[in-house]
Amino acid sequence: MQAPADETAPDLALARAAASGDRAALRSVLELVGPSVLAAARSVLGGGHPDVEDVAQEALLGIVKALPSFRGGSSLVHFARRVAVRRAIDGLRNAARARRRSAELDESQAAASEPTMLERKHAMWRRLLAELPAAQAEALVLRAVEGHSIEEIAALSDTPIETVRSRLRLAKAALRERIASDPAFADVIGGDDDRA
Amino acid sequence: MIERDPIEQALADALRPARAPAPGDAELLRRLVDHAVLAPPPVAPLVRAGWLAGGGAGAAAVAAVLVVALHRAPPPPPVRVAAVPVATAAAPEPRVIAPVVELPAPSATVAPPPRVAQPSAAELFARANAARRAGRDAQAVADYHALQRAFPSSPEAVSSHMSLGRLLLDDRSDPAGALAEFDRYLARGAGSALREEALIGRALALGQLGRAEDERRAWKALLSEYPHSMYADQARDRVAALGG
Repeated sequence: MQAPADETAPDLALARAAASGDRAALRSVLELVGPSVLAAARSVLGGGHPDVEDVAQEALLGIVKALPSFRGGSSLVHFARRVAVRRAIDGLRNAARARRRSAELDESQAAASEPTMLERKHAMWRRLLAELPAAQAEALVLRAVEGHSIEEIAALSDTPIETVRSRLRLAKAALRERIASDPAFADVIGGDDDRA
Repeated sequence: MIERDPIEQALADALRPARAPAPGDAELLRRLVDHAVLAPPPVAPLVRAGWLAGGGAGAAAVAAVLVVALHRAPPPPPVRVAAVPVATAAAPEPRVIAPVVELPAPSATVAPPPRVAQPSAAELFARANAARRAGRDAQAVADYHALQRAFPSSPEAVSSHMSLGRLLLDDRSDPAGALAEFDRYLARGAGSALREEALIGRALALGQLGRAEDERRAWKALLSEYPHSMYADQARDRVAALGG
């Protein structure tokens, strides 16, 4: 999907001004996309995750870095949200790798309050997401959570449609296999899908 | 996919974004934006030590690019870019940045884009897609239909048959209409990138219509052309359930 040139022209002009060093324009860009960036970070990491703020900050800096490559094929908000989703997935994967830190987090959360079954289920989905290759996880989040079509994901990520489709297929297959093979996952979230 | 896949649905439930800003978001965003805009060299003091420690070279590279962008660029011309409009929250936030706003036309040094009286095919398509994503289904359907009427031979109109078909299928309001859209796509866009999705859509629409034999044939057609489709398992299950 290609966004209309007329509709994205103001975004493109703003992005170019920002990329050329105009701080007022840069501020306008970041104020425009900031709420979406923060929402995406919270969505992927979970609202209470300690890295939400850092991921949002990193995403904003990533957007600054990527502004020169913005061509107006989508709105700035969608462009920024995709950057934020990718950063948040990276954050999720980093957190998952940091076992000691995760253990501390689990302990602090357990001490604060016993997670409900629903919270455990949501946490497990995030763990599963963190185990996927980043590109697959990104495609799946853009599809399942952000509501983009395959064509839109392809345009946002500058990736062929067939590649997007393949990433989604592989991601889902990996999730199903992982859930089926691990009793801990199957016990908590196996009921979501009798094939899972 | 076209009908909500259980994996996608579960993930969407788990990662559903909050609709309303949290208390303190306005201040947090102001701080984050200030850091990103104003970061002088070195950037480290602006970012929590833990972040830089965890971010490593990647974070340093981002910071370096930011610094270069802001300090090596020529002094910016006084482009007058109006502030992003804000909406006042009920309480207690004094100022909440609107998540999506219509930017005002750029200023003197950034030429305003030419305005067209009639929406283009691309504009109608983007508007319809935005309405669909926002859950404004009636508006989306109207825009897709307007696109198909006004620009019947445009690439956007061809793609819109898929988008509209999915929409009608997802809310289960008009499976016959969805089937017609998928058939139109297949007729006009045969061999195109979304043929697999169109075949899946046909089968699902026929299932919703209760046309068992046609549904069985549709799934078999999908398996014949795309044996490794994302819906292959479901297709095989349905074919078996419908008599093989």
